[in-house]
Formats: sequence, structure tokens, C-alpha cells
Amino acid sequence: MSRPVTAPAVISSVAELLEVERLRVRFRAVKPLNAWLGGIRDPMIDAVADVSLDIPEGGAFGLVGESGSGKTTLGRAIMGLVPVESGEVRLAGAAFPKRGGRALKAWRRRIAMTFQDPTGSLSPRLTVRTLITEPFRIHGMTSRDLGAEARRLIALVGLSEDFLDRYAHELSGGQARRVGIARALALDPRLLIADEPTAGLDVSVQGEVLNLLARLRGELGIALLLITHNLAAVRLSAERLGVMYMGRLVETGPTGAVFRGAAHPYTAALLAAIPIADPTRHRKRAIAGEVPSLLHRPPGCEFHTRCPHAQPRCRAEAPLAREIATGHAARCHFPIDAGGSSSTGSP
Amino acid sequence: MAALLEVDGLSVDFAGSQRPIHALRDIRFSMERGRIVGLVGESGSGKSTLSLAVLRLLAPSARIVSGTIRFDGVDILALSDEAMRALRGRRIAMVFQDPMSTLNPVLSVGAQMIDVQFRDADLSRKQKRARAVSLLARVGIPDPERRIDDFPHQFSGGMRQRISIAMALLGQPDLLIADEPTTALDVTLEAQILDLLRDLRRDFAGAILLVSHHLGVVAEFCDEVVVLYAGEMVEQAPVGELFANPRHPYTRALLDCDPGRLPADARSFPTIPGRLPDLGAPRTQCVFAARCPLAIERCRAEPPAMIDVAPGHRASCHLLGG
Repeated sequence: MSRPVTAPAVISSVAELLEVERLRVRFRAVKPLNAWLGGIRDPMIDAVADVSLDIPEGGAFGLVGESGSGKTTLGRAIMGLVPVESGEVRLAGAAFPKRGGRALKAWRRRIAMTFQDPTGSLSPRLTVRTLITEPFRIHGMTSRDLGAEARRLIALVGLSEDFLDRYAHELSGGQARRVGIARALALDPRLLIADEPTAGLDVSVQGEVLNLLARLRGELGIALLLITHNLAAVRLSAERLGVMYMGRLVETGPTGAVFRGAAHPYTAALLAAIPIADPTRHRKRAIAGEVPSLLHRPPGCEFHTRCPHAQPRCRAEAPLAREIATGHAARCHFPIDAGGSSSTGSP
Repeated sequence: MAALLEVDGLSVDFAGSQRPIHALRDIRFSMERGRIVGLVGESGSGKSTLSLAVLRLLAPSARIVSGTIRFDGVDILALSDEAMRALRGRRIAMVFQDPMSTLNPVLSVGAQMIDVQFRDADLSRKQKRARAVSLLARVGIPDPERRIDDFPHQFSGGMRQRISIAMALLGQPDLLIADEPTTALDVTLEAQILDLLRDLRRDFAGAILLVSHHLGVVAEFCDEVVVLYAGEMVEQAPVGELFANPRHPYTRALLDCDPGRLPADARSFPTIPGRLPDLGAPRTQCVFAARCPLAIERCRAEPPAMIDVAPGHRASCHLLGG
């Protein structure tokens, strides 16, 4: 029933806007001398390891995982903010520019990103008006009526024009997010990468920001890569979901299918760990232990150190991504079947 | 037996540029020994101000306008600074959101855990260290004998929070105040820390006041819940009752917003339209009136009183009668 997927289909029938293929991002984690002294053979870590994903025109992909899983790095690599070790990123069929300069600028007109710290990512010395029209200046588009653009953008994100004269410190967390989104939308991108747009916000305000992103997708037809650790928020916001663990996508699939039946034990553990606001329903005990160091990746399946279903094979052999159902794949030797138990039988 | 903690009519103001900001108004609740009470509210609700007031750690710009806080029968607002220091860290301890800010980065964990026991003059340094090791083992630090000499930065975020819990428990407190103890942690670690606190409660028998904006955490962990909005208590109930039968419109709106409770066919996220009221304004109406979908004339004319709606369940809303 499952077959190995080595690489995603290169020729796709639907118009894929973003195609990420076997992307790898490496960082130096230990200085050379310290590595030698510490007996560390490989001082490099793979922050993003062999990640492939597609987002169609106007689609939304939710990227979830815990701190350090590589989701932000993946977003930044797609933007061209960190160098890529290997693999490919294509936008509407065109490869990421080999050289910087004008081609890279053009790339960044078509992909925009909002950053994790909403207030910290806005300069404290500039008014909102200047902040949201800065992209036009950076891209030499000053012939536009910047006043009119500022009014258009602030209205787009649901704030009144009074906000144009405010400074970052005069904004609440939710308002700062909206300003960040307005700025990202200035140059009419085709893809918006939203990095933790709900982190640190009150639950009622989180909903406002997610509703805004949904409305903008509908109005502007932009695609969305939603990076978040908030699984519950992704449920309504993205049609497809990818779960990252130690830099790898361990499960991808339609959001509803993953929520109904997670195939990878890590996804299942993440879903089970969400506290439910209902005292009559207690969650199952979460997985034990913590994420291993990227410097010392466990052999075989990297999740075996915490996996409740781990078998000898998991410690020896790294699993490939296998398709469980159409468009639903997991990197696991013994994926959990729809009934909720691991295919090994009782562990 | 008297309640362990009794807050009665507590009002706290902060100095504002033109007029005082009313951070807390007329807070009344009590906590029995061994209970876990959740203090829930969004930003600006006053939940952190309330927990700091119990520890008498409010900023200098804060002023207690009225009310009393009694801990084990003693009015702590009347205690001398010295008597308060003897209480703090010993009978009342606190765990903060960010463990890195509670741990000293230039001292080893062991040195700090021995320092904290400075009042136990009859214990030798060796005995204090042994206690620290056993507590580290209790909170799930692997290999505590060796790791006790490590520095805070050598531990992961989840481990650091375990250490700060161990430190808070060194004084065997009767009341542990945990201010958003899992907010900075990933969801699998959050579950582990909550499991740990639940386990610990069995052997330390103290009460826990959990400050959280997360309804899911409260539902799983607490016996009772106090809901704060804009500095006022709007509802208090046993946990099962609050989630099954919320009576205040704000509590209902907050529960609706929880993404984990969304119906499967929901198309968008519920929100609470409007914003917090001006905390400097005098109290002439219901604090939630401007955002309440059910508000009637009376809600804008006078503030409601707390009404008992069921045993142990109170809410302040005109629509409940009274």
C-alpha cells in the first residue's frame, strides 16, 4: 500500500508556484579549533536536510515543528536570506538566481516574509507610513504615489489611516503584525512567508491575524507558507501541512487528513500534546525526552530515541518518505495506520 | 480551617502620566491548601500584577489602594519587609516564565541551589548539596550528581525550567506561584512540565497558583479557575463547571477563541471584536460592556456585582439577575 518516494514529481499538472526540491542548508555549529579539541569530526549541522515541498498558486502550506526543527531556516532559505548547500528552489518554474544583484531583488519582490518578532522587525525610528513604503524605495519604485500606496496598504490590513503616523512602540502586538504584513504586501508578492504570525499574541488576537491572512489570500490570490508551532491554528489556515523534526520533513499531507490520522509517531505526539480546553478530555501522555543535538544525529530514524513504537530496524536504517495515501507521506518504517495504532502491532 | 490564601477587595493602581491606571479592582478570592487555582486572562487583565502582589514584589510605581491579602491567616500587606522576606522563597515560592531570567548565568546550578538554602543554618554545605541533587533528580534532570556543577546555559530550555521548579521547591513552600511556566516551551516539553508539576503536587502537598493565558493548560491542570478581564474578576468556578457552563459572556468568548475547541466545520477563527477599555477611567459600567454581544442598557449604566450562580461558581454579569 505504500511506495517509496525518492523525489517529487518534477512535471506537475497543477501550476506549482513554489517548488522546493531536496533542499539542504548547512551551518557551522562549532569553531574549527573547538571541533578539533572536542573530537567532533563534522562541525557542520544540517539545519534543513533534504526538504521537498510544493505550494500551488494561491495555496497555503503550514509548516509546523518545535523550536530548532529548521522551519524558520527553511523559510529564510526560500527568501534567499541564508545560503543553500544543495537542492533547488523554483518560483513559477524559474530557479533561484545563481547570482545576487538585480535577479535576487526581483526574486524578493515576488516572495515576501513577515518575521517572528513583530515589533523588533520594525525600525523604532520610522513611522508606519515610512515603514510600509520602504520596499518601494529599496526597489527604486519611487515614481509611485507613496502616500496613496501607504493608504492602500494600511486599509488592506484593516487598520485606520491614523496608524500611518505612529511609531513601532505605539503599536500593540497584533497591530505590529498587521503593519509587518502590510509592508510584506507592498510589492504585490505571489508568495507570503509568515513566520510565527501568532506567537506571543492573545488568543482572540491570534484569530484576527489568521483571519486577516485568510482574507488576503482570497482577495489577492497570494500563496502562503505559514510557519508556526501552533498546530491548532494551522487547521483552518492551510490546506496542506508539513511537520519538521531535526531539519527534515517527517510528514506531509492534506491538513484534514493529518489531523484525522497522523501517520508519523512524532506528528501523533505533537497532536496529542496540544492542551485541550476541556477538563473532561485528558490528553495522552506526551513523548519523553528532548530533541537530540543536530551535531549528534541519531543513526537510523532520527526520532527513534523518543519514539514509543521504535523497532530494531528504526535504529539501523533511515526511513524514506513513503506515501500512505495520495499526497500524504511519512518518513517512518512503521507508520501509524488509520485505526491509530502503529503498523508494528502493539509496541 | 482558614483558607491558605485570602485576597479580599484588592485594588492596585499604577502611576500613569496623567491619572492612575487601575490595574486591579476589588479582587476577592480564596485558595484552600493543596488546591491548584488557575488565574486566566489576556494581556492587561492584571493576572501578573495579582501574582506579584501576593509576593509583595510589585514595581515601585504600583500602589495598593485597598484590600487585604491574608496568607495562612497573616495579613502580608502589614508585614515588615524582613518578615516578608522570610516568607518569600520559603513558604511562598515562584516559578517565572523565562527560567534564564531566574537563574544566575555566572554561577553553577549547584552553587545557586546551595545559596538558596542560606536560612537553613543547621544544614552543612554537603547536606544542602545532597538536597539539591535529590530535588534535581525529582524534577527529572538526568545524572544530577554530575550535572549539578554545570551552568544554566549548558541546559536546554525545558531542563532550565525543571531546575527553576526544583529551586522553588527547595524551601518546601505552602504556596507555589507559577507565572506562565510553560509559555516559553514547545508543546511536548509543556506537557512534560505540566506532568511534572502534577506529580510534584502529590508529594509537596502545597497549593499552586497557576497564571496562564492558555485555557487548555488550565483545563488540564487546575481544580479551580479565576477569570480576569481588564483588572476585574469576572468569573470564578471549579474547572469542570467553568468549561462546561461558563456564565460570563467574556469567559464564553474566550473559550470560543481557543483554536482547540473550534468545531471541525469552522470557516474562520472567532475573535472578540473591540479592545480593552481605558484602565484609567472610573468604574461606571460593566468592564466588558463595550465588547459584549449581549450588553443591555443596564450594563452601561452600572457595574454588576458578583453573583453566586452555583456552589463555588460566581460571575459578575447583570444578565444573571441580581
